[in-house]
Formats: sequence, structure tokens, C-alpha cells
Amino acid sequence: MSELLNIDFASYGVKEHLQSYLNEIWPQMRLFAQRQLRQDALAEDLVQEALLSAIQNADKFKGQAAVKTWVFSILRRKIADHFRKSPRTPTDQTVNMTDESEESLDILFDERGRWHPHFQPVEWGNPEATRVQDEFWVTFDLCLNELPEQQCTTFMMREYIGLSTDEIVSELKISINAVNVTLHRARIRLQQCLSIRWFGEQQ
Amino acid sequence: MKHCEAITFLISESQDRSLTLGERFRLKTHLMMCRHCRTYEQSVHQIRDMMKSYSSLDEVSSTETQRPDPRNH
Repeated sequence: MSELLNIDFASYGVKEHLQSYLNEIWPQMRLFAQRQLRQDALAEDLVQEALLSAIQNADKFKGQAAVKTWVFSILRRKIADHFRKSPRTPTDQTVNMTDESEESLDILFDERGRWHPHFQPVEWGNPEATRVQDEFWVTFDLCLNELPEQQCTTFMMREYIGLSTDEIVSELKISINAVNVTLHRARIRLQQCLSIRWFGEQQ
Repeated sequence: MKHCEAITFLISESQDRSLTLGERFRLKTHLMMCRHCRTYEQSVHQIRDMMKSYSSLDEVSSTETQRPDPRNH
């Protein structure tokens, strides 16, 4: 895989400080696209496309945070478009599906299906105040990354890329029930992870 | 309060499709009785909001910058 970004920024009139910033965030974009697509070449293509359409206007933005937000939003749109246009693209995402659907949430509940005392949900207080803290997002990232791969991908497709469950069904070629079960597991894991790692510490 | 496990699944599904009348009734009556599932439901809504903030990346932490409007060429 190429480590160099194959775009001649100068020919697009992109200022130097912006060039170096785009070079900096490019690996993050590639990683994000690879996680979603599971196809390295395609991921690189979409990242390139996103960067190309971003740099046409990128110079207008003051501040790197704004550029990053914008570039990533273009990349997300491109990934979503890809899923919508070619839901038949074979990916290796289906492979792991069955392993994980065997996973059980039994530990969280007792034999009568009630919350086990140890895992009962705790109030999160005021998450609005929480969310402006940078450290919170580090924890949030950590909890997302701790999800089993299939749960993470499905949850991100739903909540980050914004695909409907029907679209996820045709992309992953699994039943709607499997998608629903996977999303449910991802949500309950995130709830538990954030309760322990963030909201638990706050009290 | 027997069916928390099934109710948490219903709570998750409510994020992805409209529940049927019967499902909504079952959910509501359970939530009236069960504090833990009420708290869980709240967290699931909060996670969705968090994902919205998360997807706009450092927009939240950068007060000095405005979100660019892509329509504004």
C-alpha cells in the first residue's frame, strides 16, 4: 500500500500549511475508510476522491478543525454512496457474522431475564456537560474500539454513516434479524462500557 | 420486571424502525414498572446523540472555528 498521498496539491493551488495538514489527517481517513469498506484499494480511492473534492474549497476554511470536519463529512458521504450504489460488492464482512451471533448477553441478566445487580444501568447525569470534554471522546473511542469488529462495523454503518437497516442487510447479506441483534449487542456493550469507564469514574 | 432482556432488545429496535402498537404497549407498561430499563432506554437515546456529536468530530471542541457550509462555494 502506498504511504504517499498521490495528489499534487500545489497544482490545485492549495496553501502549504493546508497541504501538510491534509497529509497529517490522511492516514486517519484511510483507516476509517478501511474499517468501513474492508477493501484497501477501494478505501484509498474514496479517500482520494474525498480529498480532491474537499481541496477545491478547503482554502476558504479558517482553522484546521473546520477542514477536518468537512473532509471527513465528504468521506462519509462517499462511503454511504458507495454502499447505496453497489450493495452487491462482496466483502469479507459476512464471514465473521455467525461466530459473533453466538455471543451471549446472558451474563448481564439473571435466569429470569432481569438485570443482574452488578450490571444494572446507572444514571449518566448530565451528558451534555460531559461531551464538551475532550477526554470524554477518548473514552468514547475506546469503547467503540472494544466492540467486536462486526458489532463496530454494523453500528458505525447505522449510526455514523447513517445507513438504514435495510441498506445494511443488502450490504452485509445477512438477515434483518441478524442486523437487529448485532445493533442491540453493540448498544448494550457501549452502555456498559461508558457506564464503567466514564460515568462510573465521575461519581 | 421479568423481561428486561427482551425489553432492551425492543428498546434497540425502536431506534431502527417504528414499533407496532402491541410492542409500544409492552414497552411502555414495562418501563412504568422498571427503573433499570428506563435508565437503559435513556442511555440508548444518549448514545445516539453522542454519535451525532462524534460524527462531527472535533466540531464540538473547537469553539474558534465555524462549521463550513459546503453549499457556500
